Amino acid sequence: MTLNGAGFAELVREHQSMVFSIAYRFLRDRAVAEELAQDVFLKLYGELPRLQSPDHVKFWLRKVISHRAMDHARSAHRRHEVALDEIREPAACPSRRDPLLEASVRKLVASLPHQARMIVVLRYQEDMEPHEIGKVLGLPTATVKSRLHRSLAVLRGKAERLMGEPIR
Amino acid sequence: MNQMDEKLKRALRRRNPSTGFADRLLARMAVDGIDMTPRIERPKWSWPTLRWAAIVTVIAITVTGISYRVHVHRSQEAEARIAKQQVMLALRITGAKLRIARDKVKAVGGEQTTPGDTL
Repeated sequence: MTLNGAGFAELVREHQSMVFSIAYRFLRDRAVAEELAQDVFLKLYGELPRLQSPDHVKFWLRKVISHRAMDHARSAHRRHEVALDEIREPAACPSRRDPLLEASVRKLVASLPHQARMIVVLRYQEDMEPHEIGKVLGLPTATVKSRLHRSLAVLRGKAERLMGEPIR
Repeated sequence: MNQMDEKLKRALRRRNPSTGFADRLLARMAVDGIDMTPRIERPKWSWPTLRWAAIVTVIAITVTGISYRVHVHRSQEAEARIAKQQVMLALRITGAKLRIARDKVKAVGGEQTTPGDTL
């Protein structure tokens, strides 16, 4: 694909919420997510001649931002920054209509290990099928399915403890 | 879809980056000196490739031409050798025939000469 400035700006606007959200939902840090998203779009510009179609661009963006976000989380962990998966579950027990419920769910997701967390983000934010997630993360579909299943079980258990009622 | 799926979908829905994300990106690209004019993809048959292809073609044509000329020359030499042998054979046959004829002429001449003729 070859684009001029206006065409590239249009492409960025089309995909910016997807790219930013994958990083943001994974890292839960708005500034870092924007920084990573900008880096990925910069890299995209250089990569455009090798990408054959809009679907190829979308796949490439999802793949690169997912790996960038996980790499960033790993390096942040090595630098002993506040690790998101060490954040404790919320102490309060929000009711079903509590506006903080979604924030609680996001905190629970943040408690998952890196790869499992990215699988959950891609599955529920991007509505991707396990085989598509496998292609993006370079994992077999069976591995994606088993990690997703295990993550949901963990999340369900934590959510039940948090809310005090069973969740199907 | 179960409760957990719904909760996760709601909690993880997409968010937009801050306003002006794309403009900031383009400004950053301009500062970094990234050229935003459409790039012309380098053709597969670039000049160096064509040059090498032309050189190889010229060498191939030259070698083929020389080989053909050598082949023609050798064929002509072989034909000339065969022709020479045939001429030599023909000359030998002719020589042999002439000798036979001469001997016969001599023999006939000897019979016609009477003893009185030789004084």
